[in-house]
Amino acid sequence: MKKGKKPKGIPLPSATISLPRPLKADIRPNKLVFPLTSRWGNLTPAVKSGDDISEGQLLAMDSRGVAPPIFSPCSGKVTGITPWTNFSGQDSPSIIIQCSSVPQHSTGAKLGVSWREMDIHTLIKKIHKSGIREADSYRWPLAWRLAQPGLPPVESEHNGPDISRPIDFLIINALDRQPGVFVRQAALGTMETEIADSISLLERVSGARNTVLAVWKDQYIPDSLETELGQRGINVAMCPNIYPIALEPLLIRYITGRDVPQPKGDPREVGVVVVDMVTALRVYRAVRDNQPATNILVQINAPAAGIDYQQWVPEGMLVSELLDQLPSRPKNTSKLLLGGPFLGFAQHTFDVPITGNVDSIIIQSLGEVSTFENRACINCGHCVKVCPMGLLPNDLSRLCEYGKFEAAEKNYLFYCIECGLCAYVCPAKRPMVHFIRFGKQEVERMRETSQ
Amino acid sequence: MKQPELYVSASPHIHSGITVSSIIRDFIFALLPAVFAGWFFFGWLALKVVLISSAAAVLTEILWDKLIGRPIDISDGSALFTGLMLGLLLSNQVPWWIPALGAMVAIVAGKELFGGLGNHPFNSALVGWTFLAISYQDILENYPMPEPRFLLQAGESLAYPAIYTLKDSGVDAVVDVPWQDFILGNVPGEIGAICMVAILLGGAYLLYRRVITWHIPVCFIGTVWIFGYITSLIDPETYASGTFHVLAGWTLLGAFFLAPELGTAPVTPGGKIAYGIGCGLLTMIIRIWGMYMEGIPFAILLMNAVTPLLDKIRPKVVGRVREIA
Repeated sequence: MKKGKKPKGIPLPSATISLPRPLKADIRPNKLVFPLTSRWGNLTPAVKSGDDISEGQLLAMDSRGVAPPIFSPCSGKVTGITPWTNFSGQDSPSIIIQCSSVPQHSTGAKLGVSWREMDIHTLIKKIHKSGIREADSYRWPLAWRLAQPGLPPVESEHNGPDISRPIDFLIINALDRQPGVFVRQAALGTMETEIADSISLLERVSGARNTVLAVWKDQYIPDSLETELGQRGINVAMCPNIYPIALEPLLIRYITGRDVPQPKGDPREVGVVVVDMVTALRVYRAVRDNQPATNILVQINAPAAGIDYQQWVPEGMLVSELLDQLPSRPKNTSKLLLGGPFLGFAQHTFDVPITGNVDSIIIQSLGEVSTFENRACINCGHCVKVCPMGLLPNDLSRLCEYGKFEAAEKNYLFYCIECGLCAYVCPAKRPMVHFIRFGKQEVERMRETSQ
Repeated sequence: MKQPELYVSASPHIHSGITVSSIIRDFIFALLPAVFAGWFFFGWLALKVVLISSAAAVLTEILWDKLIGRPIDISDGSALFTGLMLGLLLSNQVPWWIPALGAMVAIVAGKELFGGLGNHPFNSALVGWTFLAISYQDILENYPMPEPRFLLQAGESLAYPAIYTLKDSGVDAVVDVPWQDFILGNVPGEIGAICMVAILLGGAYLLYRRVITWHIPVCFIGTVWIFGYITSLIDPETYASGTFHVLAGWTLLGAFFLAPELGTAPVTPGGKIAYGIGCGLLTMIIRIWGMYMEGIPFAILLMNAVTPLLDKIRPKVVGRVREIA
C-alpha cells in the first residue's frame, strides 16, 4: 500500500492513558428532541403533535431521499413540533417526544436471512433506512457514500450524490479525531467480537477492493481481533499520534496517498470511503437486529470532577437529563462542549439534544475555559507551521476580519477543514476558526445574492 | 430552576498556552547570555547602556499609549525586548542619551507609528540603531578593548572591530586573529554582538523552544559562509574567508535575533529560506563593496521591506486540483 505524507499538526498524548469507563446505570430518557434540519436538507415530519408513537416508528424523512430518516427510540407521545435549540446553538424546528417506556431494542421483526446472504442492494437500502447520523462532517450520508455504482440506497428522480466511481479503499476509522476523546479507542478494546463482522458488512456493501482499519500505532488490539482481521484480509494501518490525522482528507492522504479535491471534499472522487468505527458498529447492529440505529455511543467527560464515562444513549436525549442520571452530577460547570475540544460546539444551555453528530460531551470548569482575546495578529507564523492543509491562516483570519472575503476565497478559504489548530497555537489568542467560518458564511451569502 | 451560566465561544476550546508574552519572554531569556558576555568583557558600563535603553523603550511605550489614549499594555514585554536588543547593538562607551534617544526612535518610529506589535514592517531595534548610526556615527564608533573580568587575558590582536579592520587594513590584518578570540568575544565591538558562545546559546534556546525555526538562521549563515568561501577562493589576497565573515561582526546575532523577529520576517517555509538567503547575500555585498562597515543591519532592513512579497512563496495547498485554463 502506498503511504502518503504525515500531516503537520501537534503530537497527541499516547493512547495508553486511562480510557473512559462504561457507565453501568440504565439510562432512562424522559423527553426526546429531534431537530428536523440536516446538512443535506430539511426533513418532513411523518407524525403530528399529539400522536401516540411506538418504539422504532418513523418520525421524519427527507422527501429527496438523501438525508437519513429519523426513528423513535422509545414509545411515547409527540408533544409538539416546535423550535428547539440544536447542536449548533440555533433554534430549529424539532419533534418533541414524551417517552413512556424504556427503550427495549427488541421491536425489529427478526430477519429471515442473515446479512451475509442478503443481496447488496437490499443491504444498502437497509443501511439508509437505519437512520444513522454520524459524527464528523462528511460530504454525504453513510449509505450514499457506501453505495456501489448503479445501486443507490434510494430510487429517486432527484439528483443524489454521484456514485458512478467504484470504491478502491474502504477506510474504517478507529482513530479518535481529537485529543481528549477516546470513544473509538475504548470501543475497539471492548467490542472486538462485533468489529470484524461490522467491517465485513461494510466491505461487502461497498464492494471495496481494499479495506483498511486505521488505528493508532500504540493502540491495543486484542489478539483474537487481530487474527480475525488477518483471516478476512483486512489491512490494519498504524497511524502516528498526531492531531488532526484522523480527519477525513488527511487520513485518506496518509493511508492512500491520494488527495481529496477541495473545496468540494468528496473522497468518492478519488475512490475512497471513510467510515467511523463506531458508526460501522451501529450500522452493523441495526442491520443484524433489523431495527433503526437510534443509540449513540458518547463519552461524558468532566475532568475537574473526575468524571469520564462512555455510554450508549438514545438519540434525542437532552444533556441535562443525562447529567441528572450520572452517579454524581458535575459541579462547577462553566462550559458545555458537544463534539470535542477542537471540533465541538459550546452550548448555551444544558437542554440540548444529543444528536448523531455528538461523540463526546465535555464539561469544563471555570479554570479550564480558555478565552479568546481578539488582539491584532503579530504575524508570528505559528499557524502556518501547523496548518495541515497548507493554508496561511494568518492571512485568512485578517482578510475575513477586515471584510475582504473575495481575497480570502482566492487564498483557499474553502479549503479550510476547521480543525482549529491555528487558534490552538495562536499566541495572540485570536479566534481564527470564528473568522474563517464568518468568512465562509459571508462568501456564501454573496453567492446567493449574486445568483 | 435557574440555568447556570455557560461560556459560549467558537471552537477550539483549548489553547496551547503559548502566548505573545511567553514568546517575547523566551526572546528576552535568550538574550541574557549575550548581556552577561557584555558585562564580562566590557564591565558595568555595558550594563548601564543596556538598562538605559530598556528603561527608555518601556517608558516611551507607556507615554505613547497615554498620548494616543490607548490602554497601557507593556505586559507583553515587546518594548523591553526592543530596548534590550538595541542596547546590545551599541558600544559601552556611548553617552547616556544615545541609548535613550535610540530606544525612543525605535519604539515610536520603528513600531508604534505603524500600529504596534506585529504591524511594523521593519525590525524596530534596527530602526533605532540606524537612526543613531546615521546621525551620530562618530559617537557610536568608539570601541574599547575588551577587559575580561576573570580567567581570560584581554585579546589584543585587534584594535578595532574585526569588520572595520578588514575594510581599513585588508585581509592580512585579520588572518592572524585567533579563532578563540572571536568565539569567546575577546575582541572590540558592540556589547551584545561579540560573544559567539553567548549568542549560540541563546539561538539554541530559541530553536529548542520553537520560537524560531531553523530556516532563517541556517540560510542566512550558510549564504554568508558560501559567499565568503567563493570570494576568498577567487582572490584570497583581497577577500576574507567564509568562516571569518560568520564569526566576525553581527552575523550570528543577526541570524538568530534580528532577522527572525516576529512580524517582520516571512512566515512561510519558502519565504523564510528566500529571506535568509537574501539577508546573507546583501550582508556580503554591503560588507565587501558597500560604504558601510557592517552589512547586517541594512541587509535585514532591506529584506524586511520585501517580506510581504516573500510570503507569496506559500506551501502546497492540500487537495488543490489543477485549475483548467
